[in-house]
Amino acid sequence: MKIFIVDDDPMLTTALSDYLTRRSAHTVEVFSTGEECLGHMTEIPDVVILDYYLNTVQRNAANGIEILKLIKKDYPDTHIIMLSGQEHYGVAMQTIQKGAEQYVMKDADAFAKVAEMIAGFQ
Amino acid sequence: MPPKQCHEKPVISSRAGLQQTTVRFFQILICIMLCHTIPGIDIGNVLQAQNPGEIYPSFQHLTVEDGLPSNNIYCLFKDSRGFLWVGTEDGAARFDGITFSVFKHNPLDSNSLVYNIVESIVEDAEGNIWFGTYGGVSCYHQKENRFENFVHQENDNSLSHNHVGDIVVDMNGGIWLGTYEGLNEFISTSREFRRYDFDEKIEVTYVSHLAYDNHNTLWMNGKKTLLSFDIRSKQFTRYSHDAESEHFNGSLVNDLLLDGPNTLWVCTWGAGLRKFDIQTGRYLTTYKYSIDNARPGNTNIVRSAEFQVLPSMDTVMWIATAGNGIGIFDRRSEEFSFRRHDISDARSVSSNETGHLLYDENGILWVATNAGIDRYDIQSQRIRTVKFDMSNVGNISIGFNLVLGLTERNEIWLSTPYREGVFRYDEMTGVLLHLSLNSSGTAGSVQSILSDSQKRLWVCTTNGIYLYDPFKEKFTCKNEADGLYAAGGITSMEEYAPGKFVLGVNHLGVVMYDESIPRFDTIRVVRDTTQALTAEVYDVAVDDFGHAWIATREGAFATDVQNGTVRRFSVESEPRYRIGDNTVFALGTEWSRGMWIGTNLGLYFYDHVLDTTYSYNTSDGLAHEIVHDVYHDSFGKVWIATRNGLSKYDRDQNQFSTYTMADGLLGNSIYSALLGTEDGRIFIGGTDGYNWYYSNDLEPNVNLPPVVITAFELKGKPYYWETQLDKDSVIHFKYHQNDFSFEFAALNFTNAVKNQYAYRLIGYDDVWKYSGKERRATYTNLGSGDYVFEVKGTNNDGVWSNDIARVMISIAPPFWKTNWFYALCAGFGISMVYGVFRMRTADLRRQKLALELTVEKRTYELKEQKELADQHRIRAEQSEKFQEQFLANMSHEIRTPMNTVMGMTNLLIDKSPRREQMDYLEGIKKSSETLLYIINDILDLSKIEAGKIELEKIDFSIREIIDQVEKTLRHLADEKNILFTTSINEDVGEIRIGDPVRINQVLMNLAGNAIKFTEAGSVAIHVSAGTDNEVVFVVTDTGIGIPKEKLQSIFESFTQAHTSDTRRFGGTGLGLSISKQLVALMDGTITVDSEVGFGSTFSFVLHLPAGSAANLKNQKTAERIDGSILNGLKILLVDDNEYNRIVAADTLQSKAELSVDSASNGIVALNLLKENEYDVILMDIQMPEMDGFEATRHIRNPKSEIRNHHVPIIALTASVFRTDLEAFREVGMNGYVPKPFKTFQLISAIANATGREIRFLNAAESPAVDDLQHIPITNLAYLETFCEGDQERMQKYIHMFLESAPGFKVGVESALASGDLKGVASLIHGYKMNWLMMGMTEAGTLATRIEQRVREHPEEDGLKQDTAKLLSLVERATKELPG
Repeated sequence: MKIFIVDDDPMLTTALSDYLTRRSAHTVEVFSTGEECLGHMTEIPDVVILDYYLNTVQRNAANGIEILKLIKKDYPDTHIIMLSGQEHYGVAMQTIQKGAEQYVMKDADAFAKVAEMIAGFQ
Repeated sequence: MPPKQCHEKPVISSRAGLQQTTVRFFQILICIMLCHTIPGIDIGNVLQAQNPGEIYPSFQHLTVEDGLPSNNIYCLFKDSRGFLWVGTEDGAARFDGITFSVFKHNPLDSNSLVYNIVESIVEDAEGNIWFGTYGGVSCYHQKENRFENFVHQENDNSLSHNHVGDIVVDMNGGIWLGTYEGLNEFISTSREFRRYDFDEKIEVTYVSHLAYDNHNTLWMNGKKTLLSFDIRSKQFTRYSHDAESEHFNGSLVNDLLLDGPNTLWVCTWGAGLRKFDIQTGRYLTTYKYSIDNARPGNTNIVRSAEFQVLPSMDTVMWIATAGNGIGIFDRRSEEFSFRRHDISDARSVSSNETGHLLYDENGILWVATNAGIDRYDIQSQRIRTVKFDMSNVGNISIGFNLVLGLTERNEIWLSTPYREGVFRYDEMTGVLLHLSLNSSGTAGSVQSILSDSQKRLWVCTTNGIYLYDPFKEKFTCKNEADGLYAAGGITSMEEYAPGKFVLGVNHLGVVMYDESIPRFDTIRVVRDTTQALTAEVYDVAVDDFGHAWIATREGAFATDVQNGTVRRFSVESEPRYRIGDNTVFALGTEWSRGMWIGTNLGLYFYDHVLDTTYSYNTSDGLAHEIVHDVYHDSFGKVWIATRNGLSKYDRDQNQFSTYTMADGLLGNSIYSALLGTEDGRIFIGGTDGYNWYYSNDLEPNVNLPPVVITAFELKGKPYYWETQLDKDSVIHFKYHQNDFSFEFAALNFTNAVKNQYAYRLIGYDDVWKYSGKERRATYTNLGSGDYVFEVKGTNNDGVWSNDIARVMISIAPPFWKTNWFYALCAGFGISMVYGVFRMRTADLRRQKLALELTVEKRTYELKEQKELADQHRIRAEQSEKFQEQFLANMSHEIRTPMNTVMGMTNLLIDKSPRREQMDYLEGIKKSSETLLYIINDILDLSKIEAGKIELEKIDFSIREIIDQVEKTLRHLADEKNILFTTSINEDVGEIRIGDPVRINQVLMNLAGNAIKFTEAGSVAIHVSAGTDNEVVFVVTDTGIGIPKEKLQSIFESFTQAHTSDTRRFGGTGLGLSISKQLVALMDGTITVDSEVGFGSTFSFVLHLPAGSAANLKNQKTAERIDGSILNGLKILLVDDNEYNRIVAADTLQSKAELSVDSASNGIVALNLLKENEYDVILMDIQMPEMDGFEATRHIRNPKSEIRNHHVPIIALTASVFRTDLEAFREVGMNGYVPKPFKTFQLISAIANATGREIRFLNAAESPAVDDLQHIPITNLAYLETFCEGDQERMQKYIHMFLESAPGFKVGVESALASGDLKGVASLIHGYKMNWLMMGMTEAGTLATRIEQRVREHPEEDGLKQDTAKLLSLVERATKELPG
């Protein structure tokens, strides 16, 4: 599967792509902003893993929910998994309503959950 | 089969001898007219058709001897409660199965029966009993025991004639009376009668019999005819005479019996039984009977009729006759048969003149005769009787003690030792035939008969054995000529295999006979090795274990037929073969199990399988200890013929049941042998006949009787009350009416003497008293109160009825124990005193004014003294109650200012005081500390003693506790130069479950004491594991030791080993007491061992289950809430409980610098709130004066004088019900804390209510931060797992962290510096994965808090501190991690 990971934390993107590629034969591309990811959507990824906050490094960058809306608008069949540092019911509902498949907390179990879901998409 | 002559009466012997002289072969053909039975019909099911010829009713009799007022019985009636009512020519009576209660006319009592000749009895809808007599009608009001009498008067509203022949009640409760002059209707409202007459002008209607058909039609006899009366239209219809009717003058109709909707049976005088069709109004058939042989009495007079089972079912009708006893009319064959009085048969009908019949719901036929009441219990008479009627053949009695045998073609063979030859009886034909064994008269006395497997008949006599040839109708003899040594006589024989027999020979033993050879082999049975058997043989038997058994006067002998060895069962035998008496009459084989042994003293069973003998006697339920025969039938039941009845033994239930003449036996003493057939019939020989029954028929009576209270006596006199007849009636008594007795009855009329009872008086004795057959209960001297008398009963077979008769008895207290009497007495007393006082003062006033003044003064003084005394008493009570609280209060009150003193002292010390000032300050500080210790001890002890200590059960580390104790006490030990060591055995394990705070406290006390009392040497704490999760803590010192006499009291409060110790060593002396109580609270034990001069060893053992590290970790996070977030708050604590206030205040003040005001209830709180403003109120819900709800309502009410109506209020409550919590919210409370509260719960609730940010203490923040500097803040466990242990990959991530860390630090710092808090939060948020990957949990928690603060309270100082702390953690991590 082709997987895009969008997060401005290199630790996360590295670890997650590491985790996913080591366990299955996935192709993973990493973007630190949503805008970059949108530029590569023509490659038709199967899954986009999107951080909720994308403006840590580049303060003007669009946040995850905006990117989610844009991707879903043009590529409604793309699976989207939202990542977030905090558990927040409202945000979770918002992303699910906008078409995200799941909302995953960045904690010790996050990698396994994401991998499990991607396995489910296959 | 056993002969029973051995114990027969000598008088019979002479008669037997006489009979033996009859030697000629002769036949007696006896027509059995009445008394034969037909086999193969199961009469167990009573609904099944029965041939009248089969019915041989066995009547039991009730006469004046039993309490009847007269033997001339006119009518019978059974009421709704189950009583039988009897109308006689001399009064009426009520029967409960045992006794008759008689009612008679008393000329002096207008409330007695109206007239003594009672012709009809009926019960009305209200439960009153009506009596129709020759002299008017009586209505008996049972409740009041009062007769309401009605007689003919000279007006139209009274009875038309005093002779009332019949009374019926219609379905609407209307009461109709047949009188000598027409039909009367009773008008219950006016207590008058309305008269109806068919045709009063032409003829007077004599209505002697009435029948109500449930369709609003009454049927009755007219003078010569049959009439019907429509109750609605009040119209009579007359049915035309027919030839039969015309034939007779006078009263044609004797009785009317309805049979379904269309048929009316008319019992006539002379025309027999007539069937009348209601639809057509015509007689269908007339059934007359003819008496062939001249019998006294008139034919075809039917006085009364009853269906045996149900009308219209194909069954029999019973009829009462004039002169012919009881008739049985078979509705199938339409034939009559009669059971007449037989002077020689006590069980025949009492008289040939029978009147009214009553067949009740329990299957009992009651017969009114002119010689008393006869009853025939159709259901229970399961033992059938065949009697040979000897009267027609010159009373040649066969005699008793019949022995039976069965051969083919339903031939029953009978014999008796007192008659030569045998008798053959054919059940089908009823023919009894006598057969002589030989013509010479030398056959000897018949001892027993046997039908063998080929249905051949063998007869054992005193001279040999005879085999019957059915074709020649002759007997063949086998005796000494054939090799059978029969000098002693052959008693009995059994077939143990086809054609192989065993014979019992008197004085000899056993003879084996093989027919096929043929040969007789004698086995001489010896009693023991030296003594030969001399006794007669009473019975023989074989078992299927290869033994031939004989019963003798010297015991029972079982002979092994193979090897001839003999086992003796006797009084002298070893225990497993021991029986109670050597006279053994009977043997009964229980195939494949063992042998029943009937003796002169009880019944025994030899269990072959278990090789043991069991004993049964009368105490087990056996009818009599002398057992004449035993038979084990094919259904597993054991039948025992005894001297006093037939017993049945059910092994499954280990129960004996007994049957006697009342059950249909010909006699209670059964000398005959029992004979069973394969289809379950059991035969018992009797005098001139025999009994038989089906084994399965003799099951217990299933009719459960109603139980009623028949009489009640108060102080020995009959007493009646209003609701006496109700099932649950109530009696009210005065206090002195407390001696009374009840009589009661279970209304089971079958063998009613066997009914048993149990009763109790709830309120006096709740246990059922089983009174057996006793029908009376007496109570005397009962105290006032409410009681319930209950009685229950069994039927004759001991089956408990579920009906319970119940009477509620209420005995009022005596008037001097009632409240109104007390009030009266009090009033009287007061007025007396007042009166005396008035007289006295008036007197005094008349005498001297001064004296009056003195009296008044005295009175006043006395009053004052009394008040003072009362106050003292109350105060003393309160003082006891408040003593502990007072101590606690004081301690608490002292502690607050002491904290101030200590705080200020510390402040002064910091201000560089002069040297002497420093000394003073040090003194103040030390004294303050000491004082605080004392106060804390007192507080602790108070809490323990008041049970206010709540023990925790949490996971904790033993190591941590020991370390803490060591750390705290180390400097004390060091100061005194004492060696202080701690050690924990490895087997203790790290984590246990218990209350760490309390364990710590105990250890601190013990170890603190140890150091205090040790001048040189060492103090050691050692922890080891005991058995079963126990942990042993031992504190040893080398101190001054404790004298032996002090060891006992060392744990008591305010005790130290030496009186001067307090001064010398300081302390409150409470430490050990607290320790002991705490250990006890934790279900542990504390002990001390000491020697003066050598030191002491204190040890305590606690049960502490192993815990888990994970739980410990979770607990710690929650508990590590930072109390300082509440700093500066002003709190109002409202709670009525002193301790709760102290604990809450202490807890809060120990965690934060805040002020707490307390209020003991809502009113106090409101007053405080008028003066002060608080940041939060902690409000207890349940309080006196004003509760929490009420107080909150006042606070929230804008009109109240409270300063701040919006102050947050937190409920302190023990309730956790959702509805309560909603109620808190509704009334305006902002939160709640469950009681007993945990510190962190209280802190977080207050923080939430006041908008303070919750923080957790962690290692970096804790006071012991220095000690924790060396604890790593990173943990690579997760990374290692993530990288699957791949060092290179791990290094990659660590490098990523190390490279990004400086940039992160700079970014955060600059954002913070520029006031870009959102930027700070954003950066920190984006770094989250690093905390996870590097295992920096602390930093992670801190980061989350910073983000939260930025969002919610960006203005707070804590943000900067937190951020600085976070950056320092990152800094530390960069140093820690392997770069």
